[in-house]
Amino acid sequence: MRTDDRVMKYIGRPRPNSIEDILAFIEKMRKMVADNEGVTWAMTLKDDPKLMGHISFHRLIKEHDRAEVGYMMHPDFYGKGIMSEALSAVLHYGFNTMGLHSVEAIASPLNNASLKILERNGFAREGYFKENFLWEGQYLDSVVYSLLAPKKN
Amino acid sequence: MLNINFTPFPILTTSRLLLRQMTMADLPEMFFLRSDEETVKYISRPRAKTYEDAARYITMFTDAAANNEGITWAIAFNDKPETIIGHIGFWRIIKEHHRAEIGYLLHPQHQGKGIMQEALTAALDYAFNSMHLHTIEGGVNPANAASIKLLERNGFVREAYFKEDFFWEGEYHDSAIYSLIAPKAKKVL
Repeated sequence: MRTDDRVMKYIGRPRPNSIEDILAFIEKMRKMVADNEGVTWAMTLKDDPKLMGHISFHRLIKEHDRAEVGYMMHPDFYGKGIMSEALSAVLHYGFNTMGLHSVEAIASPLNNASLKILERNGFAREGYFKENFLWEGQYLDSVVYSLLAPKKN
Repeated sequence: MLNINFTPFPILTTSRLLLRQMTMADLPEMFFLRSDEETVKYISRPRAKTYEDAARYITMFTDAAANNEGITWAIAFNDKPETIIGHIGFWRIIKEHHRAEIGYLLHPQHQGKGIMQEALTAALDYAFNSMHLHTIEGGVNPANAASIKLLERNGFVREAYFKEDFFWEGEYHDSAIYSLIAPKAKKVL
């Protein structure tokens, strides 16, 4: 996934060059969980243990009860509502178990599929930053979507 | 990646002001600035309750400059360089994206006289022409009309309004982010 251009098209992160890079990435995800600094779930179908994607709160702003969500998935599974399903479960965990007050997601404004997933889950566009992201020699725009915790009855 | 070096500390001057490095000699004025409710009304950072608290702010600013992680200038009048009336700086630099976050505060007695405008002009000039930043952002409390006016007068544009993203004294507050892109380099004709 992390070397596939279809997956990484809108993700401004270094591509792994080797299996060692991937192992280091997995180790980093595990360490974040151990240190309570972030949480990443591997996604699989219930009846197939093979990894199909991952979703995470990779940046926690504990002071403000806020976190940033991020996700990616193998293109074979695109267009089936799978990421929406995963996001819904992750948000439920974020609001009800972690006690977050708000969640944000940062995306490329060109990443329509991702923006649709966010909107379907109730996220609202709160920011549009021009040229705030330098990637491969170019300044790119980013959009920020946010979602507040559902009001408690 | 930006190559930033704040040593020796860059002193800036304007027609009325001296922007210099802060030292522990500024402690009494810093204590006032960081504890006076009117000054920090819209600044959601812990108030200085003691001189030690104020000293921690000074150390934070000097350490940031020494480590090239941020720069904050003490603002004083040219003819009274020992008395600081405020400060302005880029306290968070995102080197990877040539971006930084600006912050400032000013003694209420000196507000409304174009002083922060003068300091901001000098700071922005330094940011774009010496640090070579591409963009600058300012996060403000949406109720802080004076600060928003200053940003807008300098070309900053509201790019985000985050609802309840900031927890402060038991409540979630909104915040607004204003941004400015570096002026396009002038074309030589």
